[in-house]
Amino acid sequence: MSGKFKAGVGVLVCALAGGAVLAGVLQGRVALAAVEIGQAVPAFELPDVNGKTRKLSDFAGKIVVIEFCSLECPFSRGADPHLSALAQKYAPQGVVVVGVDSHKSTTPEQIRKYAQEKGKTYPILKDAENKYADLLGAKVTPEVFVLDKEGKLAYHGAFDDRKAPEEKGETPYVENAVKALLEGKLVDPATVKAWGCGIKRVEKQ
Amino acid sequence: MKTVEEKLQDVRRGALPRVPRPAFLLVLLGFLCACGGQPPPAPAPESGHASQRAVSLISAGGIGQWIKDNRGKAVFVNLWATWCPPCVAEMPQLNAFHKSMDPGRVSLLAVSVDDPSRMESTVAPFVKKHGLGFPVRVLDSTSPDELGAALGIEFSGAVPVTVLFSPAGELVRTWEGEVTSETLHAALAGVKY
Repeated sequence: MSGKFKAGVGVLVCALAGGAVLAGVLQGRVALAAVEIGQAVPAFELPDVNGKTRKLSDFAGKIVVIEFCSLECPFSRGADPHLSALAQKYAPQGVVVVGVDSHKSTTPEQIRKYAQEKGKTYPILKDAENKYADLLGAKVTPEVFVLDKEGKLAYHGAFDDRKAPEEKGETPYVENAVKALLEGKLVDPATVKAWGCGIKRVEKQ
Repeated sequence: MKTVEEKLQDVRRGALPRVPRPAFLLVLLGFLCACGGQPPPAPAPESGHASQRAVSLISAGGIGQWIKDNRGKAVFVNLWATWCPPCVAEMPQLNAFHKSMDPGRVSLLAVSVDDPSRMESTVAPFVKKHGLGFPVRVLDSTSPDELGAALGIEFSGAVPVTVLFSPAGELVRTWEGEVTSETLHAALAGVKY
């Protein structure tokens, strides 16, 4: 049986046996994302941890990987070396990685120190009062948004399929999305829900 | 023969056994049913305050079954992981809640989303070390979507999360982030029996 056929059978059986579950899954995904795949991602203008203001428009025409990160979250820390590697590997092809820290409990100074220790070279922005996280509907760290060259959302979710913080997953969802965009192919999957830590948000009045 | 861990890895990869088509369909159906809300082997309903319990695996559907098995009681389901600092921090609160709750009217289940292959090496020692008196299971799946669907909540994938179900099995409320024993007792005050 060919792989394609197997997949087809799987989908059919899913539709028959797991229809209710799948419907729930799809609803959940749609309801959670504030920005849908294919939509323009809202712009940001945020200070990096060195105080320099960065704007999404600074990266116009590039593939932008936005990662909501937290130095307090082992799952997020576990992804860091792989994000740094991704940033270096794809920089010559016009790919930019940007970290966004929306945690109310972390200061730019702490983040800068951590980034230096870990050799993180890509910009990390401080999203005070989690406004940008709210705008994008980000809830988890690490949670990644990959934007195509036109600034539209091409991938949203987990960095990879790791099930433990320090173990690299077998499927690098973000790298696959970047590769697909560079090759002009369809990003599949375009959404994968991420395990991780909740973004510590400010109390809403 | 594959070890349990290797089989788990196969399931995680999405690899299914190579078997003839009808048998393959049956296996796939069985697998989907097992994680799609049909009753898997039911964990024992909670009884009393046994100080130590064995940790075992549970499917997303198994959590639904556990809630059904505890009809007539208010049911708290806590989603956590040993790698999650706020989850670890709230464990003494859950223990305090469990010690002070009425087991005839309330039950508490903690579902770890740790890598299932680390159940014995990481989760079981954690439960022992922290003297957790309530039942602890490890989710056998790697899908936050499946877990959210089984509980009927919009689950972001971030832990900890605590969910309260009424004695009739209806979703009452969800807490994202740490809870305290006091919070859970206060929520119980509004539950109708």
